[in-house]
Amino acid sequence: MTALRLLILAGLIAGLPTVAAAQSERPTATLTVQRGLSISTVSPMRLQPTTPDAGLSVTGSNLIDAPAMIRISGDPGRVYRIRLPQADADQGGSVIEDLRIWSATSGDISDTRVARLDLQGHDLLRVSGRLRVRLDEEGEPVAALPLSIDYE
Amino acid sequence: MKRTIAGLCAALTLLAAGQAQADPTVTHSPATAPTLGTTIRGSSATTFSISTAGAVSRTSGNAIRLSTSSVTTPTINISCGLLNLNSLCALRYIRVTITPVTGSGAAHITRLRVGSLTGATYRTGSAPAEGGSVTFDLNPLGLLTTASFKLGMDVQLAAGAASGNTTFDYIVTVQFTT
Repeated sequence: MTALRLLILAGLIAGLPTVAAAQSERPTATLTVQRGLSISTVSPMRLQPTTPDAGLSVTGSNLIDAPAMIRISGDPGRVYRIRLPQADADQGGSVIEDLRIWSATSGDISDTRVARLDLQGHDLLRVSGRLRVRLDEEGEPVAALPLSIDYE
Repeated sequence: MKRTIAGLCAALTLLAAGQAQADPTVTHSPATAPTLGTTIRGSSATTFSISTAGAVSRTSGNAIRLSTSSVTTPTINISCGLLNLNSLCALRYIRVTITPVTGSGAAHITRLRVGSLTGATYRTGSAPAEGGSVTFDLNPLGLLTTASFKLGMDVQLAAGAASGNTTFDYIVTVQFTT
């Protein structure tokens, strides 16, 4: 009986209300903000079919053999990569070969296809190549060049 | 036998004294949650709503969250240590207050919502309504339980937010109430 009393007493002592300070916790949540890549074609590419390799310089707007001018905006200093679809040798119609890409910030990126935006978050691409036309094609030859550009 | 009981008394007393300032306690897991991931900033303030189950939806604005996956919402745990005996914790009502931290960051919490409660019951009998901050009371925990609930929230990302990682915090406070 004494033992039981002691046990009850211990429980009461252990359970005595003490200074009950409020306890706080400060959890954290996160997200990562990024500026979307803005891509706009300033001028389309115009290639002379008979010319083996178009020049990369621009002397006016929309001249024959003018490269495509593409303006890119995004997070300053970020690296971006240009992706092209796999060439399909069996596809019909005209195609662009020997693609040349020149970046205002990174120079010739024809092989690497990787460049960096400047400190203001801008870059300007000049894209050119050689237009291969099928002999049996009628009318004005037109080729599509789908580019995919995203942050690296 | 008496010596054993007396020793147990002393141990319990010391235990109570040692944790006198730590009742009740609140913890959370995982360490950082929710994590929304990469978001393209918008030209207007954008609100993402996160349900207590972790589903994310955009309710206003034009920022874009790249992922459509759900996120892990935080689990808040409330307990009082061994057997919930400290300060008679097992027998006392507990008030829980959750408030967002407002700061200079690009993102902040605008709304909080409490998910299903386990290990305890609401004193009012029902879950609190969601709001800018949330306060509710729990019935006494009893001897062996830990109260847990998930927390959902609305997060507002400022227009034209600066690039990089941004955090948004909230504070969970627990205390005894009468």
